Amino acid sequence: MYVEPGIHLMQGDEAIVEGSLIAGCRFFAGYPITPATEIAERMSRRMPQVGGVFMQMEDELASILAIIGASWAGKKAMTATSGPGYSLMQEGLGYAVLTETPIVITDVQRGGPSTGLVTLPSQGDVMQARWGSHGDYGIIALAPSSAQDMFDLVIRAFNLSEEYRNPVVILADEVIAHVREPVKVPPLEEIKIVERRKPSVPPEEYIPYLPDPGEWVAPMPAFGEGYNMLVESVMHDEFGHRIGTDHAAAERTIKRVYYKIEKNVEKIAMYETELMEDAEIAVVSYGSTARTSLRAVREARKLGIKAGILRLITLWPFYDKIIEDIASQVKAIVVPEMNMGKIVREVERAAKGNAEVMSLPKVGGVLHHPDEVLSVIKKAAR
Amino acid sequence: MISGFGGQGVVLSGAVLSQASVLSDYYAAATYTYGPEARLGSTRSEVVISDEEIDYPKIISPDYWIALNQMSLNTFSKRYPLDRAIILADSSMIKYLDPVEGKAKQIFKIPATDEAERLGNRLVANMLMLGVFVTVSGIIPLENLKEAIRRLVKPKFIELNIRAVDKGKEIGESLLKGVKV
Repeated sequence: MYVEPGIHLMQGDEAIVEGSLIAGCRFFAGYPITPATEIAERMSRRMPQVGGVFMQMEDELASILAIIGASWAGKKAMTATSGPGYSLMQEGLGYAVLTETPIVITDVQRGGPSTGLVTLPSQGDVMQARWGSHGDYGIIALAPSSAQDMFDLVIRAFNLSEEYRNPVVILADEVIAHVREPVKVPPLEEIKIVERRKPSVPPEEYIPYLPDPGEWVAPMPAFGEGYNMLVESVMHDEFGHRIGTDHAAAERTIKRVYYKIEKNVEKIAMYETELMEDAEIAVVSYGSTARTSLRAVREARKLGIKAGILRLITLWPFYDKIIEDIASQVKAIVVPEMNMGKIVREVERAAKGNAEVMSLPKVGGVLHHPDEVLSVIKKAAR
Repeated sequence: MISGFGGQGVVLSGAVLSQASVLSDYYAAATYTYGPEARLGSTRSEVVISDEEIDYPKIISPDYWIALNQMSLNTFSKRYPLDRAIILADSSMIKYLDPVEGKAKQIFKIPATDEAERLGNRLVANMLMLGVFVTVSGIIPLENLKEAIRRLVKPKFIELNIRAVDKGKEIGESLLKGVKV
């Protein structure tokens, strides 16, 4: 049923499918798009084998709405797309946010804008992942750097989406989606899976958007389990009732869907550091670019430059504190990105002027060459 | 590095080579670059094979380059340093080696597509070249290459692909002896 524990050579797009099935995903709806097509292809074969449902939809608007419906029917659900499809999904994503629906969306980034560079990598959607839908809300976005990460992080994404009743975005890119490399699958009993919290009260006492004391979100029953559930995209109160001009109730709801993510950043944030102990130059990097950066940092060390790397795994919510800490240690922070310079703005903000922040943008659909990153590290070290 | 045009099996041969490498206890990372076209666009597989875990998954300076068409030979001869490169050029498809002559460490001319045609299908030139590669490089046992083919190639084509690999091995052995093929 599941991929056997052990080491498998897999593409990132294949690893994410296997990880999601282990996480409990039993519904996938999507529309094929390069470089995410292999996810839909493998899902179409694998879902029936685990008793799940695969649906090819007419477009991405329908895809995200279908997984929202499946989630309310009690299933863990995912869709996968690339930039053009992700743009179309923004309305549905906002709907999932306000109805507090756990879903996982994989955006395998390719070069934009528009149809763009259809087969080539990019990290151009990182701000869209944070701010793409209208209004104020919290979102979780994770950036894999390897096929292994695709496997591991999709499980984490499902767990977070259930814990916070919120959409979680996997921000992959073409290199990571297509790279074929070894993936270690641990024994099932070693994998932590978070299941949806169901109401413990009888149906007449259940309030669908009122968190239990000490919790950020309410438990979530499925349709057909006897509970009244108002899945309402108009601004609503704790009961799911439309609130018209009740400003106070609106403020409560908006602040909760914002803060349930932002205030839990310490719990959600994942990152890795390497060679940072004595570093004077830090490279802050994510996704496939982090691999280029690691190579560059290792080359810099060979030249006697004290460089280290911080790899951001969680991009959103943005973990200011780790950047603050690093900025107080190093003299310069280099931020290579496959875009015109996006996360560098967050790094600059969080560094609070304590270290020089150097952007290294790259567009055109190609990874930075390690020498490009190395030359900026050298410049920073002077 | 394996380069050619869409339809020559560049992506599949990259996948097979990475699988054969992992079966031979190496770390491997295979990435692919291709355009939006289903056929004839420029296509490249980059396979990094290492004793250590792989950071940067792309090729910086190729040790081996299987070139399956003229266009990719011309293009990538300018993009990569070739001083370490042993080039396996499909001489059925590549008539002018000027872009790499004098730059590469060594160049082998192999009429891979013609040989593949003799085996029954020109599309197995890619696997024939992998047979040459594992023989010339000596880094991967031939049996692991065959096992990778069994795992990744559609069942009805496995036998043909394995014959191509055997032919490649034969050619590779002649090349090592200095025999022109």
